[in-house]
Amino acid sequence: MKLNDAALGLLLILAAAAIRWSATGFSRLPNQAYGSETMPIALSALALGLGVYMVGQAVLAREGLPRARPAEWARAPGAVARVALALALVAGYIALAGRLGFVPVAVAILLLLMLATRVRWWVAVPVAAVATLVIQQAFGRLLLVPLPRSDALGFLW
Amino acid sequence: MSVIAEALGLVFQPFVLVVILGSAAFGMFVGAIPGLTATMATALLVPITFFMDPVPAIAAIVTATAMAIFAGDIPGALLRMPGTPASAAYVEDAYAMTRSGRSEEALGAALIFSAIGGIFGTIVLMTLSPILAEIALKFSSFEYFWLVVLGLSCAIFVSPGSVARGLIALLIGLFAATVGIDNPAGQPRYTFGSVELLAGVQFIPAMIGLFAVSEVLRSFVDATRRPAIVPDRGHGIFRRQWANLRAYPVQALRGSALGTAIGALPGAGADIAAWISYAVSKRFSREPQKFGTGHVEGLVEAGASNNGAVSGAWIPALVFGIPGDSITAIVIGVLYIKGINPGPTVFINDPQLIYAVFVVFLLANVIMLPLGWVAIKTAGTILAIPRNVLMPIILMFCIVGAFAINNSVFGVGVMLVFGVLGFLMDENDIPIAPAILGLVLGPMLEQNFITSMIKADGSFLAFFERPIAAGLGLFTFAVWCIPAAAWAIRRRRHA
Repeated sequence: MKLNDAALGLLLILAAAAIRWSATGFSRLPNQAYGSETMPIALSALALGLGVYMVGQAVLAREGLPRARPAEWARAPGAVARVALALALVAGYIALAGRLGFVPVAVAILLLLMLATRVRWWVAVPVAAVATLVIQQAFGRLLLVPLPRSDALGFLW
Repeated sequence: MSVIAEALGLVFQPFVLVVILGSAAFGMFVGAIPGLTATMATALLVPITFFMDPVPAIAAIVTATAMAIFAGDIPGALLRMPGTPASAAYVEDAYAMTRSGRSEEALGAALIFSAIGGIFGTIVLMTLSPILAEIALKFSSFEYFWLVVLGLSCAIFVSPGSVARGLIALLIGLFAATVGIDNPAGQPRYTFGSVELLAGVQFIPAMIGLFAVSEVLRSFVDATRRPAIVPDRGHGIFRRQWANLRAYPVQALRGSALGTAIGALPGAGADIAAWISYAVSKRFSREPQKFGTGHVEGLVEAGASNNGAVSGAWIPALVFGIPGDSITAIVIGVLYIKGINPGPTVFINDPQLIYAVFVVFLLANVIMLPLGWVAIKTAGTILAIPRNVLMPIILMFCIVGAFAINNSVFGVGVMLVFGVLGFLMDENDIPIAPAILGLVLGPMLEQNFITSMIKADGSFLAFFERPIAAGLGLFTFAVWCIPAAAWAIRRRRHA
């Protein structure tokens, strides 16, 4: 999604208003004019100034109304689905790795992503398995990162 | 002289040399993985150093750190995924060189000039430590405020694209830095009841998301089998470097000196040093229009600067026992465990140990050359792997790297959110790097600004009352005003 300057400027003005409003809930240091609110207030002022400048520039350049248009790549067949799949698989790791363990979830992620990007299955399966094992051994054993374990594959640690 | 001979005897022991070699390989490995930092390499070495004498213990840390900072350039140049925040300043140039089939030249420049910066910093450490440490300790919140503002300004002015879009990126980073409880009043901000967010947005998972995940997502847009980038056309790692050294001697020296000086300031590390050096390089370059398009000049200066900063950070640590960065904070802990108290007395009580540290620094920067050559050659094979096989594996490395920061899937969540954000920023020509620097320096900016305002009783003039602060402040204003003035003059000439 590509925004024009007017839309970016408008978004900044809205963000400035939201940050300024949220800063009212933050307190100052006792007996001081500064505190937790200072930085958000300064940022909202900067965002407001920048937003007004961008909208002004867009008006001067006769860019027209704020608008968003879909990116060129989104027209390619399957592009949006592949990006959505990648995001969903990372979210799936967050949700499932603790329960199922690192190894099965990592193999599934690698396999699905490779198949979605047209890697042949007889290449994807061994690459997914070997890459997962290398990552598990490098991080889990060498660097002592406590990757989530699965009972059945506990011997790998 | 006998002290130096004693120090050489302490270092050139078979066990110490094996430790140096092993920790060099370990540092290379850790630094080359996006998400694993030089600090993490140091922290992972601490339990091993328990079983060592002081010299091999310090040698392990010094060597691993120098290697990790250089190795951060490898994924940055090959995949546009900086291994450490210190490599983010010149990642666009390094990646653009790789895209045009000059990956070995880019990484060779990073290697050679990292070694030059490191050796320069060590010579300064050996000769000027007490003087530099005295100056560094004169820095108060006013000077730090201007230094941070200068770093942030540099990030905007060196970014590709318009200043307005650079400012948007900076605002995103600074806003993300406001999240959490680490603020002057200790009040939770934008945490929405999340315990993990109380600690703020972790910048390493955010950096992985902004640079690496966004790049992986972009690769899924076009799922072709061709390699991600053009394989090197045989430029050679060292072949062009003599020419680079002859073309940019001032840049190499300036980067090394500035990096060492900034590294010597407690709290200001290799990240800010690289940014300021890159901006200085662009400002004084004869070809500033080439920066960001695959020009080696900025890489020479900023590459020397970030490794110079690694040595510089040891100046306050050794002279006063005050850590210059997170790595030297760990080192000071290790020294205490070994019964050595860093500070002025260490130069009197254990001079051979201090000289041994200097020798190790020199040795680490020299062996960086052959080991770096091997690392670059090995990593270069990545370029031959089809993109649709490589990118899923990189995504998996990103997930594990983000997890490893706090051993929590929360880091993976942060990475995911910033990955989408980075993808959208790229779509709208908003540069990513200023957002990273905003996130890293945001807390330092806030703390020093509020401390200064309280000290000055609300008077902005106090920011110019101290000589160093006034100098830094005026320099910052010059950085802001000179491009605007140059633009106005150009416009007047054209009119």
